[in-house]
Amino acid sequence: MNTAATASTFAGTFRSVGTAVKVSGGILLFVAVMALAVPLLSPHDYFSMDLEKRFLSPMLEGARLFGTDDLGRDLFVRTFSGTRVTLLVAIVASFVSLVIGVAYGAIAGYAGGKIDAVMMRLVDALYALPFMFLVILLMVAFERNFLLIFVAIGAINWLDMARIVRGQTLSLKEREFVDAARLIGVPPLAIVFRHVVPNLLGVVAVYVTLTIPQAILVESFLSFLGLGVQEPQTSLGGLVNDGVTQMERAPWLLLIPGTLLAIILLSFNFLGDGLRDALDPRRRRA
Amino acid sequence: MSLLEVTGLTIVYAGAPAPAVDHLSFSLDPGESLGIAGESGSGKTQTALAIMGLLPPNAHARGRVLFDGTDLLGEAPNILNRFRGRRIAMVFQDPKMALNPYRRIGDQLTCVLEEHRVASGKGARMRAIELLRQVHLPDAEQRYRAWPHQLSGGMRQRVMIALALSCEPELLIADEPTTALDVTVQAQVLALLQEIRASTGIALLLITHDLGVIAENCERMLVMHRGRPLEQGATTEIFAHPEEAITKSMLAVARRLDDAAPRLSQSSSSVLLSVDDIRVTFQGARPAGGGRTSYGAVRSVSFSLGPEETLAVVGESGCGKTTLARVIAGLVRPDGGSVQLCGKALAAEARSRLPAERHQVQMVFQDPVASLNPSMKAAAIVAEALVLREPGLTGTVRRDRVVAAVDRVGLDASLLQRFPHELSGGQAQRVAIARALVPEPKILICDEAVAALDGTARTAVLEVLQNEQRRSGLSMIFITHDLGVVRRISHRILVMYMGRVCELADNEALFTRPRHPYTRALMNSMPVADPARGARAARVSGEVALRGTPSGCPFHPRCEYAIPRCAAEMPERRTIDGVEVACHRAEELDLR
Repeated sequence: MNTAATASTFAGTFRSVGTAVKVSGGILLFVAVMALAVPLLSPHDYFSMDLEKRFLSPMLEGARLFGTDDLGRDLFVRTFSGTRVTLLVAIVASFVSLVIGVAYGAIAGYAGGKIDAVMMRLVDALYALPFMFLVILLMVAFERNFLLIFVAIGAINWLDMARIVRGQTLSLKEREFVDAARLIGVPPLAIVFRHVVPNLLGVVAVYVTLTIPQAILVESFLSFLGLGVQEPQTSLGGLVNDGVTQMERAPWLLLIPGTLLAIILLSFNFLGDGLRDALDPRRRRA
Repeated sequence: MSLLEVTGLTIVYAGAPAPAVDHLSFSLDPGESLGIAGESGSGKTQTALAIMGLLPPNAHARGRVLFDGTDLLGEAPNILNRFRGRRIAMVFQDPKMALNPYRRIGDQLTCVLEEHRVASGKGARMRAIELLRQVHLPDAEQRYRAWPHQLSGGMRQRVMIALALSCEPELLIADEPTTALDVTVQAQVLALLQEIRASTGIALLLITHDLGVIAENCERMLVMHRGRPLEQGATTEIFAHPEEAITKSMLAVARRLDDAAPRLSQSSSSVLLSVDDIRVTFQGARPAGGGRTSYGAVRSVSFSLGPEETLAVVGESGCGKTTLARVIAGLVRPDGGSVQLCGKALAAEARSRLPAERHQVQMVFQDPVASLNPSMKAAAIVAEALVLREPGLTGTVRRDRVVAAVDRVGLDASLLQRFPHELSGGQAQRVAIARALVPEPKILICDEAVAALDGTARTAVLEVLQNEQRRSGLSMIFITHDLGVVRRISHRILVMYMGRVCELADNEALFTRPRHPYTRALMNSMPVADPARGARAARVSGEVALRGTPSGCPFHPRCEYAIPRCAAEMPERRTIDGVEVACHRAEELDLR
């Protein structure tokens, strides 16, 4: 058959989709391992200052791979200890919003009628809360706490997730396979979690890849306001903000954490695209 | 010289194991009509797309498509555009998808006229209205400013034909132009195509799975199977002496109306299900500045069903047959009336029925793939119903029972590990039937259960249902618009129009002597697979009203036998010679 040329382009497309997922997954795994290992194994730590060794250039002086900052702290360790915080905040916050948002949205959408109206008005009311006030109040009331950042970011993200999932559920519940499940007597909650939720995982996966970068950005914004992670602890967002102030004197303080942040955000996006394809049963290969 | 000459056309999709079209050759003379018949996947549509240069980029076509001496295959779009729309036009299956929903139909017509420089400005407008008149769109001047969603399916297809005719092409390719339409409207659209051919001498390439349509409209025909041409020749010749087994079986499906009616094994007067005075009203969208409109989908329908009986419910789309089925199944809550099973009233919603009652009534849906959860394998789908029926089955017993359940509907157990999209339509519908049969129902409601299937798969699924009826004494309510299917499987037939019962009769009685003019109209509209038969008897005109209900008998605006009384007074349902009919003139009319 004369299909060799077209067949190879098709196979190429398929492989390149797979490659993007593999590469981005590999990068994220590598970054995660580095974030765990570097602060443990390095001879330096993220908080010790050494005013003799301020602004050392990367690789050039004193075997500092990423150089040092304005207080003489090792940037290599600080970058990966910051990555640790960033990834943790992003993943935990997204997971919280995923679980609450999917369950809440799917139940509201499937129940419909008054239950739906009440549940979604509650979401609207939460939207109306000024988020920053909420965070500041939480900080003041409970002192500074890592957990609070997760709660604060999760608390806004699940609202979007709930709305998206509800919308998808509204159209899914009109499908005939849901009617068929009702006729054989599947209980309503089982219909939601066995017949509705698995069919919206594709949309959810894509949305999670949008909320992870969003959570990372919100976290760095909070850090900038002095409400996030506190010095000497840091996050990638915090490092970028520090770097901006020293941009002219020591550009690497901005470039290195900034590049890493961009790589992480991009990798999550590619991973999301791949996940969506993998979770769509019509694209799954027999 | 022939107008269109296709030689050795072969279309291969990247990654597909077999070519979609394999060495197809045919020719078409100016003014001639050729029908291409075949089941889905036989390559008919691919052929049409190749002629129009509309194949997707991952398709690779070889061979020659000579149109008036120019090879269109592999030609650049700017060359093709000298032919497309101007000399070759196409009408698609679904007029809803083919019209732009954001533009008024008049604008869409003038756009084509101006693009091809046929006319411009006021001239284009005049020409567009003239075209709309030519396709018999009622109130052409007003409809010129209408949006596509304001038109019915039949009207939209008329607009599509007007679009296709706008540049006076020499060849019209119609790809299943009437499949998405009701039989009555199908007959009207096909009559329009014939009329246009007679007046303009345009050549027609008609693609359809329905040999009846070809018999009535085409001089020559070509049968395709899995991309290969099986046989071609004069339509009368092939109908009289089909050579290939596949052609013969397709013809058998098309001639099903000649089958004998099935008989009840024992006639009993006991009633299994009785439906009494069901009414369902849907709230319509709020029109500008007014209160809510309500629309009576089902208006007082009553009937009863005996054990082992099959009742067919027929009517055009929008007549309320599906809503009626969903009420009985407990998926739609009626506004009035009751459903009784063995003399006991059933709760309105499936969820509030007792499990034992719920199991008694099961349903098979129209689209087999949509009625199966896409994220579950076939085995899990059947097992779910089984576990609900008998909780506490152990793993191996459950697996054996699932295999037994699909074996009962003739599905190979090796297909159980597949996802619904990996099954063919017929296989998916068997899985759906297996799931519906697991609760051991007494009544199976089939809502257009074979409408989405091809000829052979359709016959096979109907056989599965009939076998099951013989085996377990199942009663069936069979919702369909296909009178051929009705004739073959039903014992009694309920004809509905705009939410009301027109006629309720035994199969034999209905087909030998219809009592209601609407029943007669439906039967007249069925394409007859007999090319020798001449022009058809009068067809019913008009379409189901989109808005509002006519006073009196709802059918009277379309009824050729209507008298003044029909517009004033609602006919009572009464029994004449064992046939229940709602028509003022039922006694005097002889509609045989």
